[in-house]
Amino acid sequence: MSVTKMNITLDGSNKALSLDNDKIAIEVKNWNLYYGDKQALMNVNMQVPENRVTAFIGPSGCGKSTLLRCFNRMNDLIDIVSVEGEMTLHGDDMYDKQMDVSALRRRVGMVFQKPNPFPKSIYENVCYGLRLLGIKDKALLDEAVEWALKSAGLWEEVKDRLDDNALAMSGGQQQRLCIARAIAIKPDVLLLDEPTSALDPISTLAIEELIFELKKDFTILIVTHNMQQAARVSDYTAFMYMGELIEYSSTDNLFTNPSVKRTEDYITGRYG
Amino acid sequence: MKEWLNKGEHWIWLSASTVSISVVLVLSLLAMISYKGLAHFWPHPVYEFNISGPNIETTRVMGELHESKNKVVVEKSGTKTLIPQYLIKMGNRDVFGIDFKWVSSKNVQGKMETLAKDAVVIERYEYGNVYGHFSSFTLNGKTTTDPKQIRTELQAQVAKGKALHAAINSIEKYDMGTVNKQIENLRFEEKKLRIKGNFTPADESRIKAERAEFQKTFVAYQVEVKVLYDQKETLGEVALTISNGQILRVPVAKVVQFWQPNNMSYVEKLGFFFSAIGHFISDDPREANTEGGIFPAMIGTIVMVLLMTVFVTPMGVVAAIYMREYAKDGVVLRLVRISINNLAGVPSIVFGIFGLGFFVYIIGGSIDELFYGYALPSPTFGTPGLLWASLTMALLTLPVVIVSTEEGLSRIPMALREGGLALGATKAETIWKIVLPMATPAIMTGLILAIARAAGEVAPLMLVGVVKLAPELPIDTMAPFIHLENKFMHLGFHIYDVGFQSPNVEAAQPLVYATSLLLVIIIVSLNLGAISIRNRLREKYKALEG
Amino acid sequence: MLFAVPIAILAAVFTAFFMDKQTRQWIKPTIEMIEALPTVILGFLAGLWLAPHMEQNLPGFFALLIVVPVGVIVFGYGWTRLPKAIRNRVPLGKRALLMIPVVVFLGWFSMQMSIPMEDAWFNGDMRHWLTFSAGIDFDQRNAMVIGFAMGFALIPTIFSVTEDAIYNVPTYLVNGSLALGASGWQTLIGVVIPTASPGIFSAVMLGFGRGVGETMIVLMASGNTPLMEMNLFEGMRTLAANLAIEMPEAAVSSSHYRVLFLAGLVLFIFTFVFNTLAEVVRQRMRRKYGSL
Repeated sequence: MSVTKMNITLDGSNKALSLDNDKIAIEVKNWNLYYGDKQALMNVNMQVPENRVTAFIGPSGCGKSTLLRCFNRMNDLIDIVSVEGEMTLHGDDMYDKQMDVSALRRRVGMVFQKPNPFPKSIYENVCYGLRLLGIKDKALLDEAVEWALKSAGLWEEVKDRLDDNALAMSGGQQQRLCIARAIAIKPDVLLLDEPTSALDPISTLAIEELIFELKKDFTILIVTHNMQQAARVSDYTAFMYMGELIEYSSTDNLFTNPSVKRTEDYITGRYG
Repeated sequence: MKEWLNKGEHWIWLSASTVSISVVLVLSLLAMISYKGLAHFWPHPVYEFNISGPNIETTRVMGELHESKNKVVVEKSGTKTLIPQYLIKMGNRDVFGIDFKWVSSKNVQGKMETLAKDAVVIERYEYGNVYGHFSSFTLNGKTTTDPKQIRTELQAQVAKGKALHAAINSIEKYDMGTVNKQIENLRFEEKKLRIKGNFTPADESRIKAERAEFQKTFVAYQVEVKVLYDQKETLGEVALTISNGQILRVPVAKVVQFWQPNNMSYVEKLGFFFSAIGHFISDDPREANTEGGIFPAMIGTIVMVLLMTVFVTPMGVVAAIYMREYAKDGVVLRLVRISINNLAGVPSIVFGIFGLGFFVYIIGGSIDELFYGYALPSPTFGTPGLLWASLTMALLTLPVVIVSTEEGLSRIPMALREGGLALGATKAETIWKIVLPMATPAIMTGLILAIARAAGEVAPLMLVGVVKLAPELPIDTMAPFIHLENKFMHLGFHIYDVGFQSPNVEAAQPLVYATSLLLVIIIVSLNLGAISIRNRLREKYKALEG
Repeated sequence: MLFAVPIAILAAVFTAFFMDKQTRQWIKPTIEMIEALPTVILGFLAGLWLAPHMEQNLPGFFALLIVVPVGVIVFGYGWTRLPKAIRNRVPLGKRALLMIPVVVFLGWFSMQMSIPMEDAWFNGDMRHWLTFSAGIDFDQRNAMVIGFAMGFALIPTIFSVTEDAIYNVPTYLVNGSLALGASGWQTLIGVVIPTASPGIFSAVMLGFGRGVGETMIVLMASGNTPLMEMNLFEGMRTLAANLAIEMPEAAVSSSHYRVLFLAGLVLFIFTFVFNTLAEVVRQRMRRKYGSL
């Protein structure tokens, strides 16, 4: 991938981010979010490139998960949250009044910190989203399930026990199942909220390899606590602090040559 | 619209509406009971109007409006009209034979809502209320006809009558009752001696002497009562013109109270309202329970519940402590848990049968044979009674107490117990001194819930000790003060009995509503108490954890 | 009684899943309050108040079954057509409050419909029509009245257990489903209900157990007819009520007494089976979802 020419500086106020050679999937402009009276995100501006992995890092409580949840409007579920600003997905306003939240979430899939397979069979877990779309054709479902599980690198392990309860799988398998479940409906964007923080190193490695494979088909946004992980898997990295987007640039650039003092402090381990 | 249905939005609306339905049902139920119950105490206005009969003749009706509803009449032409029908409480049962009468508005001449000025309502000890106008008042041969004067005189005489009534009651119930009991005891003593076979002539003469003594006191009391009765007869007599023009004479001795609802101001009505509530709570029932108060039923309920608490507390608490602190987790404990949960689900009537079969007939029967053999064949404990009722209720509410005590115990942090043990206390000491005091709120919650349940339960009590009308209260001034073998009255059963078994259901309905209201208030406030204790308990332990 | 199960479960679903915390805090105890109400009072009201009213407004009661759901759905659909400014005033969590006047109105409306309906279809008197045209006997205190009253008594039992079961479904499962683009209700059906199903099952079992043993309501609201047929409008009598009536009259150790004890035993076993079943299911569920 060609990220070498990227030269981005962000101090929260600059407008466009030039991402050479990459198409823009999501664009965020002047984004603010409030929990009641408390402001949790402050004037975030960023562009997320298509078919790339973008990582969010920052200390706990910096708003990175909150921002991630904005991308598929999961924050709508919390009554006291209010937002302002503009957010578009391939040019469509995501917070438009006419926008159907369910349809949006189908385009923006999400995987959570803790593996959360439904207490059903593996097969049913994967085709849950498809069934929501009203697909009943067995052959179609079979095909989709196989594709999703293969893409998630799980097919070989589970193909003989698709009818087993998903809760019987190991944690790493469960998380990959959740990824398979999310990609089965072929979203444009995949949000990963600390997908490996509850897993052992080997499972983590498997997931990281998977992310690398998946970016061919999907735009991936990942929140992680683990800076090595961000460095390993992502093409771009955004550093957030106290609800602000401090620095956003190519991963290589950010880790080797941070332009903001605070970013440097963080990645060198001075706090966080 | 289709998409809307697909998303299941209509189900959300439906489920939301079910919540509101439930809430509406609960609130309207409570509102209805309160309204109907409280209306019982309010002095209703008395209406007076003429109605025309099937022929031309006219009847005058006077009474309280009790209920109204619309009757649909379809005429031949096909047009329908709604004709309001009124249920009028006319009272004067001794004259008319009925208390209530349906009146069709079609037959009412003039306006229905004509208040009868100066109308008097007299509540009597027998035959229900009298509605009418003052006609005259006779006392010691002197007759007054001025309504105002009648009112003042009657008031004074009724007060005197009340005092006499109370005096008679106290002598008949307590003094004469005591003597009766003593005579009965003598009889038993004689019987006991005879069974043992050492009934000596000396005993015989002693018993005879004592009996004669008691009989003398009894006769003395009888004379005293007779004097009071005579005094009551001389209180005078009030005459009222009732709706059909007849003059009805009511001796003051028969009057409970009287009032003139249409002449009362709002404040007076309010005063009457509260005094009526007072009477309701503190009086004995009259007229096959359909009038008067519910004092014995209340006392019966309270005594039964208290006794039950005495039984259930140690049982429940000890069982819970054992299960939580001592028992090893395993199959046995799990079985015990399942059976306790099951016990909570067993229908109350099954407890009733168990109580009747086991407590009453087996244990009660044996006790009779062992200790009260002289009284057989009339049973003492071998018959449904207070003791067995409260034991049955204790069994019924045991799971409630166990479960909530256990919950309380489990909330107490392990560290506190370890702290106690580390100081060198034994396990029993730790539990007694540290764990139990902290679990008291939980135990209290359990007890309150148990009490609320017991107060509302009727079915098992019907089998093990409740009666329509108990001749004596289960507690009195005679040793041993609580009579465990007596039958008693209960609010819940009172509702059932008055509402469904009484000869005059229509007349009794307001009373039933009032009783229900009282019961609901008791139970709801107990439950609210339990909830608030539980909340406070939670707060307390939050502090402990933090 | 059948009407109570859906009401209780749906109500529980809404309370646990959609309602906001504040509303839930007072709605739940309010509904659970019924549990504390002595059944003798419910029985009394059913027998003396509900029975005659139902007799008078029979078509109204049937209309209730149709009018309320349809009315609610129409209202809900109309609501989505309203301008957003008004809609936003009532968040999802408060919808139940919004529905209170609607439900009251619909109930009142069906009762008002009662008389015109009677005229239109049943020649002015449904009771009469039932007896003569449909050949169904009608008692004032009938199985339907008991059903209503008993259902009312069972709502809190079922409601409270179901509500707990649903409330305890972990949020991350819900989020997982929502993130896949499922609507609130789809999430509920697809994920929450299956997860909570053992709890709901045991709630219904407990409800049945309680219904079987309930004595006073049946005793007071039923016609006490010892023989019964499959007819909603006739009186009936249950095992429990039978015990309460006949037990005090049976002589000790007579065969009547023994038969009644046997009936008690049957009742006991019946509820015992229901309860144990519920308990076993609950324990199994706890083990199964312990890992969640």
